[in-house]
Amino acid sequence: MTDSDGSNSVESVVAGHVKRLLHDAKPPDLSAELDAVEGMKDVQEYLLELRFLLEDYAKGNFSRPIKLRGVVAGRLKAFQANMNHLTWQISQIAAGDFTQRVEFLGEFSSSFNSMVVQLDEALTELRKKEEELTSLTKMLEFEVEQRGAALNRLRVSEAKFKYLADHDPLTGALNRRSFMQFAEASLDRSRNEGVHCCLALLDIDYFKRFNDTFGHLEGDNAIRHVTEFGRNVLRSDDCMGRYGGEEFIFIFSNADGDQGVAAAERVRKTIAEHPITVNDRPRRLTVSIGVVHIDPQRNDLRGVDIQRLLQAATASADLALYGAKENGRNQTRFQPLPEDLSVFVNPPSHTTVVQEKSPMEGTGS
Amino acid sequence: MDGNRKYKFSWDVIGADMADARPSLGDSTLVAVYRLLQFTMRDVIEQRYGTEVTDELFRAAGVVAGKAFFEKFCSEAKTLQELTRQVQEKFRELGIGIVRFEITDAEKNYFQLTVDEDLDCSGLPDSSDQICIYDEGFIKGILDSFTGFDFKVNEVDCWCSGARTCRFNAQVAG
Repeated sequence: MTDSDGSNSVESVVAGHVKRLLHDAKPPDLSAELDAVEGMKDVQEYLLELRFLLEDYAKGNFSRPIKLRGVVAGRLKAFQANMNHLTWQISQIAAGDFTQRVEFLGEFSSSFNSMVVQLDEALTELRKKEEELTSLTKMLEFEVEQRGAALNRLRVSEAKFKYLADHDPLTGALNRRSFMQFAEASLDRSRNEGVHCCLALLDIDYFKRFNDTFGHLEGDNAIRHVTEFGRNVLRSDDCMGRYGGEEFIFIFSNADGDQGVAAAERVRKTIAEHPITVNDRPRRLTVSIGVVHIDPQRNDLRGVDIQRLLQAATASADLALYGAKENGRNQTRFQPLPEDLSVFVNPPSHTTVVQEKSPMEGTGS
Repeated sequence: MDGNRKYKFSWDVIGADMADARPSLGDSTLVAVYRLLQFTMRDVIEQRYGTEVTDELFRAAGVVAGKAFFEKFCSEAKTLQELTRQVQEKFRELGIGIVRFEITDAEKNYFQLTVDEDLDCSGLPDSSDQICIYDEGFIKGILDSFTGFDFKVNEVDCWCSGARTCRFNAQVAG
C-alpha cells in the first residue's frame, strides 16, 4: 500500500518488516518509525526470540528456556519437552530399561520402538546364551576339577607304587634292583667323567645269633637300626641300598680308596657307637664292611660292560667283606678292583684291613 | 488433635468397592467435576484465608496424596528406574496426566519432568500464574516417600497450547 504522497503506508512497512524478520538471514533492526508503532517492539522481540529458538532446535540444542507465551510458544515447548524426554528415554534404554517407548514423532516413534524391541530381544538372547555358556563353563570347570583331583590321586598312587617298587619295605633303603640301577649309572658317570668312586658291602656281625637269641622281630629292628645310623653319616652323593638279609650295599661317589674307606668307617663306627635297645637293655651291634675302589684312570675299564664292571666290583667288595669277617669282624677291609676282571670271583691275595676289636666273637656271621 | 480428627486420610475412608457403591455410574466421572470440587475449594479457602494460605493448603494436601499414591501404587519400586516406570504407568492409567521425565539424577537427587494433559490444569486459560500447586505437593509426596529426603518441588514452566503442559523441578530442600 502506498499513501497518496507516494510514501509507503505503516501497514505495508510493518508487513515488510515482519516478512524480513521471518525470511532474511540477518534479522532487521527496528527502525524509529516502526518503534513508534504500538506493539511493534513486542512483535520484534517475539520473532527474534522465535528465530533464536528455532536456530537452537535446528542445531539440536533443546535447553534454551522458552519465555514466550501463546499457542506458538506452547507448541515449541511441547516439542522441546518431547525431545528432552526422548533424550532421557534413550539414557534409560542405555541403562537397560527396554520398556521405554516413544509415543510422539510419528514414524520415527514406531521405528525407534521397533529398534528397542529388537535390541531387547537380541540382548535377551545374548544373555540367555551367556547364561548357557556360564553354565557350561561351570560344568567344565567342575569336570576339570574332578579330573584334576583324580589325576592327583593317580599321581600320589603312582608315586606310592614307585616308592614301593624302588624301596625295601622294612628299612626304606633302596632295594637291590633299584640300587643296582643307581650304581650302574654312578659307575658309568664316574668312568666317563674320570671321577673316583667306591662300592662297599656291609654285613651285620653275628646277626644269625642275634636273630636266634632275640627273635625275628628284634632282628628286623636291628636291620632298621643299622639302616638309620648308616644312612645318617652318608654324604649327599652317597647311596645306601639293602642287598639282602642283613647285608647292605653302598656307593660312595667322588671318593678314592682312602675316602671310600673313611666313609665306610664312619658307617661302621656310628653303628658300633649306638647300641640298639632290646628288652630294655642296650645291645651293641657291629658290622663288617668290604670296600672296593673303581679307579677311573684305568684304561682297561673303559670298554668293559657296565653291568660286568658292577658285578666285578660287587664281587670284589664281597671278597673284602669276607676278609673282614675272617679277620675278626667289626672292621672295614679294602681292596682294589682286580687287574683281570674275569677272575673277580677268586679271593684276592692282598687286602688292607682297618680293624677294631670284635665285640661278639665266635657266634656265626 | 490427631486422635480426634474427622478427616484423616487413608484409602479406606474414600470407599473401595465402587462396583458395589456405584453399580450404575461406575468409578469414573468428568474432569470438570473433579475440577469443580478443587476450584470451588480454592475459591472458598482463598476468600477466607487468602491466596498464600490456599496455595499452602493445596500443596500440603498434594503431599498427603502423593504419599498415599506411592504407598498404594509404587511401594514395590526398588530402583529409580522402576519408580519412574510405575509413576508413568499409573499416572496414565488413572488419567492423572502423561508424565515425561527429562532428568533423573539419583546422585544429586535432582529431577525434571513434565506432565501433559494434566488433570488439574490442562485446558485452563493461559495466565501468568503457576497454578499446579497441588501437583507440586503430589510429586513431592512421591519423591519424599521413595528417597526418604525432603524434596522441594517447583513448577517452573506452565504453558497453554491446548493441552496445557507443566514442567517441574525437584531437588532436596535446603
